[in-house]
Amino acid sequence: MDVAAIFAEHQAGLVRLALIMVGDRASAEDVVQEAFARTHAGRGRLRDPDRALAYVRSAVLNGCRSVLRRRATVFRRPVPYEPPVWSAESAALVGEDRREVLRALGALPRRQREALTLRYYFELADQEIAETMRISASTVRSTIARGLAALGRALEEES
Amino acid sequence: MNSPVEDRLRDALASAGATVETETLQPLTARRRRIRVDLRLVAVGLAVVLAGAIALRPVPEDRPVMMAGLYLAADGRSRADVSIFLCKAEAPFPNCGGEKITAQEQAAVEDALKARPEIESYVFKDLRTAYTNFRREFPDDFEMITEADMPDSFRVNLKPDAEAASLISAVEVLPGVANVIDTKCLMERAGFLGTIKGFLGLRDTCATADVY
Repeated sequence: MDVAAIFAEHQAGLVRLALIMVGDRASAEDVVQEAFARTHAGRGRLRDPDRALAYVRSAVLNGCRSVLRRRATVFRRPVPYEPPVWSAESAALVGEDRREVLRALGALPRRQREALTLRYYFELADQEIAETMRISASTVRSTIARGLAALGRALEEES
Repeated sequence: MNSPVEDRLRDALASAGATVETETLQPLTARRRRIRVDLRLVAVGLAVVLAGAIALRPVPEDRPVMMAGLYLAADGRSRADVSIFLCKAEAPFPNCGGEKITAQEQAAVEDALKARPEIESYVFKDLRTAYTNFRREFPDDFEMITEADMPDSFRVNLKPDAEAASLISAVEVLPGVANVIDTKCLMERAGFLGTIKGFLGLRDTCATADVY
């Protein structure tokens, strides 16, 4: 399976994944572009076609982590290029309720945020999430359970 | 069977995802693209680039220059409160007159710093150190930025609760000083609280040199 073909086919989904992680469209597109350039430059083909998408999503998640890390170290705190989709000044997203949910999601620990997104946006099974995040399926289950509980608490506090 | 939290999460994620329309995506290329510079920091960057550093290059569309200027003004991972950039040859700052700071002028700047009671400590950071730190932070990017682009600087930390303003106005007029950046103020302004204040119209301006 050709890496370029997977990226091309799933570009929008990958950008959406990155957007939810890093908060703004420009950074999200950069992450996907960067992941594409890296994997493409490395090797054009993947040995296991069934896992190709998990591999590519995993590369994108990694890129998102670097962006967040880089923002935090260079600028001492995370700053996106544009107002994040969950901010009040973002025109992209309609509805304060949705922004509130995304804001609460963004405040969760990284693993919980990633696992919840893969489950509730991409509707992936435990095993697929496990492969994408390179953790075990049982860790995925407990991470999602904890993430949902934390999200529920955060949303209750806000309302 | 789904909890309300799960439903809300699904709905929020779907709406965030829907803001990315397939037709509007930039096509992917195998060539590495440079990281974009944080646009919210552009205002900060402008004050900076122009801060001493790299003003010989075309700005402000030039992202590497902006990034390097920003990095300099932010003092990288160090935590200076005030950054004093020194003139180098051809620096387009009125105070420089196109000349590099002389040894005597530099000594005079240092004497002035020693005499300021609000200063807790200061260090001299030469252009080589500035460049090495910049390169360590961005090993793969902005390769067109060279050591020669970097300025020498003094990095000052103030005593707790000391104000930067009078120090800045005293130092920025000294011969051989290109400009002076209130680094602490800039970083606060670029941060979360500063952004919120900005939207509420409460933003303080930082004492920085003019933008060229």
